[in-house]
Amino acid sequence: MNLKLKDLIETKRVIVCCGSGGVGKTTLSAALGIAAALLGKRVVVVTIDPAKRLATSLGLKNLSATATDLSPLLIEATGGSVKGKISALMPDTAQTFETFVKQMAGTNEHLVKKLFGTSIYKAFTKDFAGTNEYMAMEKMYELYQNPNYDLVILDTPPSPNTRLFLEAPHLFVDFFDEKMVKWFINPGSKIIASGIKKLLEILEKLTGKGFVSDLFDFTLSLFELRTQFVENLKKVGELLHQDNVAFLMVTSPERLSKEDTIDFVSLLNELNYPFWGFIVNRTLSLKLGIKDSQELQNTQNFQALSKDEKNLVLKNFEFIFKKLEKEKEVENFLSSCTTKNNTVLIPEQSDDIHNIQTLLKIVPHLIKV
Amino acid sequence: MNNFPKLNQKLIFFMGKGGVGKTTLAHTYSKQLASLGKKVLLCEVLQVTEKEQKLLQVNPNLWHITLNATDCFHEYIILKLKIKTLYSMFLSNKLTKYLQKAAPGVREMVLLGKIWFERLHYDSVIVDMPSTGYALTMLHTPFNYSALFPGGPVSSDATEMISTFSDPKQTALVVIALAETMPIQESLELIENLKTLIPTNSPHLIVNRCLNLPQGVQDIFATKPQDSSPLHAVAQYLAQKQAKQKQALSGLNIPFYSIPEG
Repeated sequence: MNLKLKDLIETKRVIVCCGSGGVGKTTLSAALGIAAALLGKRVVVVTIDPAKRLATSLGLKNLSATATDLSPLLIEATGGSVKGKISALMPDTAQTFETFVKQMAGTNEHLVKKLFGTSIYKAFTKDFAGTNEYMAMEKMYELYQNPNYDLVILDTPPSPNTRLFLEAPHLFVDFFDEKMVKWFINPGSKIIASGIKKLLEILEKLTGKGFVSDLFDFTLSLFELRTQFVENLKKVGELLHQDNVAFLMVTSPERLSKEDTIDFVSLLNELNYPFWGFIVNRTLSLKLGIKDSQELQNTQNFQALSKDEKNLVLKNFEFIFKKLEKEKEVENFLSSCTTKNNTVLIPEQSDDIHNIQTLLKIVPHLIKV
Repeated sequence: MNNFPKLNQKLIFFMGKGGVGKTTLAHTYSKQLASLGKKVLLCEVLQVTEKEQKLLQVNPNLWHITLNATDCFHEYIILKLKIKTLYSMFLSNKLTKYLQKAAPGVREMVLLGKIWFERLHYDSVIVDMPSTGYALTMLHTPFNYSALFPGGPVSSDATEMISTFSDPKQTALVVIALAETMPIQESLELIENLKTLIPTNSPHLIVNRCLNLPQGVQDIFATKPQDSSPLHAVAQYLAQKQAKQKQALSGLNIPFYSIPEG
């Protein structure tokens, strides 16, 4: 049970779950969503994850870009009434991007047509550095403004390190490096003009005829939207500074990277984004009451075992002792990372989590129901 | 690594989501191949951070390199343009530098191109790929580029890369998973995606960190009184974990190799 998380759910409008891949971020986002619904919130859980982890952990085959209402499933699983409502969605990045570009372009249909017509756009919308992350933030902003939801829980896209999510949209906007694109539009400066011409000839030789002009069209069309992109990013950035937003970092004892954690927390501080604390997933919830194998060997129970049994037991105890030691170290490390004393431990479950019933087993570790 | 598939292709890609032990397995397998007398390059690809690219000789048969996209880009341009005045002009231009960073796919293409090219200098190049999503993006790039570019050397290199990757004799795709439901599910999805992309080269699946409890560990405790001793708690934990792994693996209907924990 944790009063702090209950308080968090009750006071925030947006919870952003960050963390590197493989720590169970998606599962915990879903569990937090269920906890919020049980507390009476109308909550929506958003994931941008090509691997469909959210769908899997909810026991669904698929999630679509429009919100799926999971409340009936939750009511069925709890066997009683649920005060709030829960839905989940997985925006389609290519689709969100298209809608987004159309919105930005407004009445300029010609521009939209030109942009979507380039071969570069067709091949790379999904793979653009930062597109997934930027679209995740866009979706979050849109849902935040939707009066049907009290709380948005954002499961950030899986990435090798945690700061990538925060930096990606800027990478995306860097694409519009003004000086560079201006050269494209108007290589008028006399010093560079001949150089550019030669350069483009080489580029054309490397890539075949037609690509360079396609690249021009693509870059110029996007560049025309630059101001709107940057404006929009600023708006999302402002939302993330607000008091009713909280950033959580999900980690696990086995996957914790100290470097990445320190880096992430200091980046949040630097950007002035409200960091809440850590959720440590899959801890070993064992209280052994002994501190080493020597102590174990002194117990009566142990001495009653046969020689073979003793060997077997000792070998496996080593494994667990190491794990417990590591966990202690992780806890100490995390509390040294921030002055906020918010670290919630979630013990590893004996069942695999793959539907709402099994998710419900985590909820008591998050809040008191 | 007795349970490891015997791979000796020119290119061996290790893939899987973060934290499944790709790096460790890639290192171990590289050493093993090198100890058999093969000339091996272990190639690490990072998704974000750019480290200095330096080729290190680990032992007489084994080399190690962490790729840097800017260096790979330069190497590629030098290789293609050949004439110094030409490539110096091209590489030092600000617009080139901008395009190298901003144009979609360039980073992925030059990294993959470097790996592909190095196969000519070694018996095997073992690649420790970035986590699932980005690894797929990388492998998609030559397909995108060969379709995108109407001609020229980049397009023909992309086409040749595809043919190398599609040949099981030249390239092995290895997917690593853990014995838990979600990771297994994700690995199956990765395998499906790879099969769609490269239909002629079926990936190998390896399940890492399988808890291999000796027979009877549960039985010992079953016969003892159910007291609160640490013995009991630990045995229960281990038995549960093994049952969970068994359950996760029971859903697998394709052949796989398992590697024990520790």
